[in-house]
Amino acid sequence: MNTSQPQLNSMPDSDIELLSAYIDDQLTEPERAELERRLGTEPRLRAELEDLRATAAVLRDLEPRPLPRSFTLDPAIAPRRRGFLSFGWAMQLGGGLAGFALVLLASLQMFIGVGGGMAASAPAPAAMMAAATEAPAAPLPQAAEMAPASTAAPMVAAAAAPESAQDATAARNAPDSMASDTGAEGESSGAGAPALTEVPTAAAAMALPATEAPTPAISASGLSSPGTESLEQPASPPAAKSPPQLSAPPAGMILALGVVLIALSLGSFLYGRARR
Amino acid sequence: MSNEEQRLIESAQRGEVESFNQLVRLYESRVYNLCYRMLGDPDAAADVAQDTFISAYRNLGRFRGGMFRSWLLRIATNACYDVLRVRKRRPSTSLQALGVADDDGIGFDLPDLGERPDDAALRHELAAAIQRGLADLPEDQRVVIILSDIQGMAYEEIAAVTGANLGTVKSRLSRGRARLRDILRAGELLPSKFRHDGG
Repeated sequence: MNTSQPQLNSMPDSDIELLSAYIDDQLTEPERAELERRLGTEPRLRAELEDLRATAAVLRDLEPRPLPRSFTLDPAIAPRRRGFLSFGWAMQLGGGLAGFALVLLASLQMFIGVGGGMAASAPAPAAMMAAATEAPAAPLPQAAEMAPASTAAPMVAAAAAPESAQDATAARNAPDSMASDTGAEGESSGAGAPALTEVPTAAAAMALPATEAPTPAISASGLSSPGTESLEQPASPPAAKSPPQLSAPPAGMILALGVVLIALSLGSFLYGRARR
Repeated sequence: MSNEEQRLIESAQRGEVESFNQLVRLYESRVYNLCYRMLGDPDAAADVAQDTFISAYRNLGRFRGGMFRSWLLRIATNACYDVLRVRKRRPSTSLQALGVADDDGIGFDLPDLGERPDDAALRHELAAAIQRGLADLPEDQRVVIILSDIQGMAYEEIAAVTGANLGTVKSRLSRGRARLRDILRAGELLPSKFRHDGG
């Protein structure tokens, strides 16, 4: 076999393209007529056409290579199809909804919590703390009834309230007031807004890492002697004013977390679409 | 697309693996041969062909109609491009890099009892020369040559598979044919009845 380098073709690319399209019957009527006229008068053009036809014929006659094996899928190990409600899609939707819920929760905390005392709103444990602080005696009978049922509530109250001063206040007034807080919480949780019960808990859980530091202080103050109360009582008015301020951080954190969740969900969705 | 094929696709989209496997049997030879001609290596071609069908099954939900064959071959083409891209980053002096399998055209097909040994040898030599020529083409010309001249597809379908417009398909096809023509002419492998100097 001749191993010399292929000869460079000096025919214009435009002519080669015409000839190639002519082979495939892809020329317009005027183009075909003009080319056929030239083929009749240009032997070199005619020769190039025959060589191109021969090349196409050789390729057409090339035998297909036999299959080395079958490529059918084994039903036992076939990959899972990406359905409409795929796991990834569900995660994106769930994350987005969770983020939206957190943003809504934070908004409610910011606006209702600043109002300082709409205890019917369960997402405002700080507000409930404030209400309990203002009227510690009132919920006591209810607290006595609710105390056995609110074993989990103290954890919710403590966790949801990075406002350590408020918890300290609740603890200071009396151990019963803690129960009363929880009792009030339990009441409102039970009767007022069951739909929001989980959200405060979730918010509480998310707020938990930030609240761990204040917790020892709460415990310490809770165990402080009665004498400490008198010393700290003057601090209660400022503490009473603090609920609006202390409600902001958790609401802000919740809002930020919600925005992050929404951004991640949206980003994941857009990235997945871009990859298609 | 025939009604039967449409039925198989809809069944496969509902998760029926056996329906999808019927589609695989319809197109596996075409897909494998495209991969083989693109990559020049039977093992790599088998891997890419298998990946193509796995990917097609996973993403059947994204098939929105049109020619299933075109959609399938587009997946295969893109998978071949990925392999070729990796090869470029990791150059090798093996036959694989030359795009020629070590047994190309020899010994893999059943002997034709009516064929003279000389003709069989010539056929194998031609097949090997074609594969070397294809390997020498730029990838965009190679795929168009394979789809048009080897697999007999129309320009419009080639455009759908490659994502190029008709004008680009025509241009790549003409340039690819011209280069292959030069290679075969240099090897005196063009059929004599077509050769302008053989008569």
